[in-house]
Amino acid sequence: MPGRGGTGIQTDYDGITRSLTLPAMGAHEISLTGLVTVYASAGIATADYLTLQDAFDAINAGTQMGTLTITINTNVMETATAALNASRGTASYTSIYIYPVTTGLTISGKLAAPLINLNGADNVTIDGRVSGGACTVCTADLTITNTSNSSTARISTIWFINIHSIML
Amino acid sequence: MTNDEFRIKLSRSENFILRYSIFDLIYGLRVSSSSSSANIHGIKIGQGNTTYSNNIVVLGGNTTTNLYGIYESGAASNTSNIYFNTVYLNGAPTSGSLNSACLYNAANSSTRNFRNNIFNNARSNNRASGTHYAMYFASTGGSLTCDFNDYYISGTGGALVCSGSAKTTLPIVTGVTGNDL
Repeated sequence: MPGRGGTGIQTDYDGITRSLTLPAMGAHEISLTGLVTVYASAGIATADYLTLQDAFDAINAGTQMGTLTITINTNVMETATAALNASRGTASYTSIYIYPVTTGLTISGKLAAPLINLNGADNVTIDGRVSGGACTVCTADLTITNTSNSSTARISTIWFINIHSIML
Repeated sequence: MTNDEFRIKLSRSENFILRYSIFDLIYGLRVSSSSSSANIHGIKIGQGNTTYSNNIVVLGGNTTTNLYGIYESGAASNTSNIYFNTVYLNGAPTSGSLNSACLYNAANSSTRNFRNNIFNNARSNNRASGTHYAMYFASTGGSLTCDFNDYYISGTGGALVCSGSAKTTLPIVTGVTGNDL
């Protein structure tokens, strides 16, 4: 089972380095494949996360920077808005490319708020094709859905604020 | 033998306890068969600002005794960071009503951070009547972060958590932030 980073504990019982973002619970570190993986050209090169929100939080904090690729590895359930800020302050990226690695994947949640909030985030591409179009027969293979039935205003699946980004 | 055995006990310390293994299936850590109220602790935390990480605690046996994998006193002005520990309790007591807990928190006056631990309490009553908790809070409230822990019980008399009352489902604690949901 995955735990969470932020404890300051860097190794496990055997002295093996723990994952900064997705450490295993208990005394022994076990390599866990995250639901979402972020590859970066600056900062931490590769890191796994449980949700897109966690990935965006790390990008906003400057943990991963530069040219970023985010792969959706399996179905992802968001429990809070995944908010991506503009590239300024602690966040520093030139582009972000998001795509699924296999067919039929879903990013979902039931939030009385936007599921994904691109808060001034430019140069973001969400590509629903497997492997970002590196497929033989490309179909729409990523579904993003907010199942909330709340009547509150400003509830969206994806909320765009002052951005220049692409949905493919 | 005493009625209060423990493997590690800290008092007034500012230390890091890490990568310590306690495998003691009562074959080496025994209580008197005439005792009906003995306690066995894997790690007993008295006072201090201390981090306990990457420890493996395994305790068991069928003798009538309270079993505590990690015992946190909850004393005021102290901080206990309990991270990445694996605690496993087993055994099948045949008499008495003594309890067990992988993590026992005795009071709510300390600052407590309990994260990324595995608490597996497989202790099971075999005619005894104790309750066997993955985690036990003697008092609710206080400064507590209790998140991303793995709780597992499997025996007769098992209970996930005691926090005001025995709970078998999440959330295990309420009224504080950053906790297992």
